[in-house]
Amino acid sequence: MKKQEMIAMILAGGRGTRLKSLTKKNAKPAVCYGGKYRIIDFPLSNCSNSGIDIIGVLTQYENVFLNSYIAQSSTWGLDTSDSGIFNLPPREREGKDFGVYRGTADAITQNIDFIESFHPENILILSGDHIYKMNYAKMLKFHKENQADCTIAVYDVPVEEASRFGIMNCHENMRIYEFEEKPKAPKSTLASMGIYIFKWDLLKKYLLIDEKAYTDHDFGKNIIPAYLSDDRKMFAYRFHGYWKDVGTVSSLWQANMDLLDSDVELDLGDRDMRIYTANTNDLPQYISSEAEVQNAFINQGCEIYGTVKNSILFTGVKVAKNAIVEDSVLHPHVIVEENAVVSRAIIGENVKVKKNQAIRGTEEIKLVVDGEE
Amino acid sequence: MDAIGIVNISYKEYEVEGLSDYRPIPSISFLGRYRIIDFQLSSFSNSEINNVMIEVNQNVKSLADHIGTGRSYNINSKQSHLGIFYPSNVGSSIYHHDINALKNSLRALKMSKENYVIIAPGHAVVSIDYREYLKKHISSGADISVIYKKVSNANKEFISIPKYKINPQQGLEKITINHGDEEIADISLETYIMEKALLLKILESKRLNSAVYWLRDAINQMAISKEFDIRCLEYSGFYKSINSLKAYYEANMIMLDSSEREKAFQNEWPIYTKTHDSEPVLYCPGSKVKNSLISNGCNICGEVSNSILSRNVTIEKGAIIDKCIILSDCYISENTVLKNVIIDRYAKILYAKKIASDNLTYIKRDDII
Repeated sequence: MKKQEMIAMILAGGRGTRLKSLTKKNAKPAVCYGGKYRIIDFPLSNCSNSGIDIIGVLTQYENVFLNSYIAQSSTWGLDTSDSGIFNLPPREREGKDFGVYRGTADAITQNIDFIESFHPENILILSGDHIYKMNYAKMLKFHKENQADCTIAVYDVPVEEASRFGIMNCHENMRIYEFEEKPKAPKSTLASMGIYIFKWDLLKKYLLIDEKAYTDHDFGKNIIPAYLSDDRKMFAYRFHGYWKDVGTVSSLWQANMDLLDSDVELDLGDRDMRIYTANTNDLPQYISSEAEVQNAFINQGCEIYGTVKNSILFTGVKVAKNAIVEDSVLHPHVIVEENAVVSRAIIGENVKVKKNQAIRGTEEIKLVVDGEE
Repeated sequence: MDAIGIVNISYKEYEVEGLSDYRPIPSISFLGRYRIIDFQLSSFSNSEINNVMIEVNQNVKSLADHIGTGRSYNINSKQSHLGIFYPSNVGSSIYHHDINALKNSLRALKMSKENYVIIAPGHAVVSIDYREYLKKHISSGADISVIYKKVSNANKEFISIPKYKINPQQGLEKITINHGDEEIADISLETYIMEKALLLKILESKRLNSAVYWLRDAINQMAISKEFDIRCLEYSGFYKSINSLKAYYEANMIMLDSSEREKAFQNEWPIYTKTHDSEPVLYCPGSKVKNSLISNGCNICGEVSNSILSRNVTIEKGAIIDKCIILSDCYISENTVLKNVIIDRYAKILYAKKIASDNLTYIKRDDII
């Protein structure tokens, strides 16, 4: 098997409770974004575009759909002889209690045997929670140039927001000397993106110690501080570009709306760093003579007979005559019947908005998911 | 299924003027995201045909890139086989017919385990369940079954397509060409079902074919000679034969009608194609789109009506597009007016501010106008 310089592990086990009913029966990484994609398409596509062959996906919460989704590794080009996407839920093992992943670090610890089978030099840890496009090969180059034990990707946040993040304090050469979680008086504006490259052999040692300790088994809370206190070589890698958390209903809505804003630099049409997602057989979208479509981002399979403004429509959405959709995000196969109105809302997969029905969000974005309001 | 599906090369006189200069007709873009051959391949795949042979007479790269391993068509790579056959065309073009193409594939035919062959045209837009037709062929005991469609507009459509003279027992009497003299005709789907052994006999026999015969000519002779039992099976579904620029344009444009789309694209009979992972369509504020089919990857800031756009087409502000078919990756600059135009891939309309006429205009691939 080809030598692995770096393999990736994506933490996709969380529920994302702040997404409310969007994650009732669906893990957060499976949530829809951007007219066509699921959140996990971003780290998976980034890995593929960065030349990473092996990806372990750590699933846990409501992972039935997610498991079968990532199993189609050809979607991201990772179905070749020496590549693959491996689904890793918690498993029963000899001599151990069958349990959940106790924390982000524990998820890795419980899969040391999987990682060892590839003897990688480095391991890339990613969360499945953010929308961004990144070439991890550049981060690896930076990691190697600095002979780092650990490299953490950081994002320059506005100073007034810095208190919401884990902040890295660095020397001029980007070597990290301090890490402060949600500091009241931040010393820098470099926020941790939750993207780490570790030299594997060293990380393994720390994970095995952490396994038996009484900690939260969390990278940010336990492993990173342990590295710092042992004076390990840790470097911050600055990422420039679009990076958005989509952990709440309103931030998910806003991240979708960003696609209509020409000032926002997330270019989903960029051929060099395409985001891949599962293919469908739907026809190209049909816009009828009675339709009015303005400032919208619309996917394959849609049939528009009504008005669509400032909205994002996913696969196969049907908007009937005289229906109005404004400032909203409609997930796959939503049907908006005649004279219905949808405004400032996120409508979940397969929901039928009935004739004359009005769904209007206010300051707060309204979320309507199949089976409940 | 116990049949090999063979996608046949198109008849020598079939030409989609302009577009077929660059690729064989089956490889031409259709309805924005498909290629014409996707219909026949999807019909083969959905009919559980496990052995598919595609005969190509020119520019095989275009088709090979699109088809790949056949996985997009749901063709199981272990159980099934999909092969592209490119005959070595020697001698003058009168010899470059489908019988010679099939003769070039003789070894593959002989080595296959299937007992029947279904030969169908790659330039047809059709959705057909071959399982049904193979069953009918076998139970009829006919030597060859040919499929036809009874149409009532043969004076306007299917010009230069073969038609059948059928006797009351559904036997084929002879094959002629539709020149549009009559409204009603039994139009040939150019689809032939027979035992593989009989196909081999036709290919290898000096008596059953002449050096310049196409398969249709050989079958016509066999029908006229009355030595063989050739039966006609009726098909009444959606059928378009793309043998000219006019036929190409009309077959695309009729799909703007949702009832026609529903006939051609049925939920349980998917039409497969290769994905290009293009992003959703972006409509600018101020864009105006009416009665059009728009493929992913497009960026629309102008006005588009009664048109079909392939992937990654950019229509800038102020541009007015009406009754056009624009193939992938084209760029239409601000304030350009286009009507009745077919634009081939990668073209950029930068300087010509108006191309509009009552006749179809074709703009070549890669042109900068």
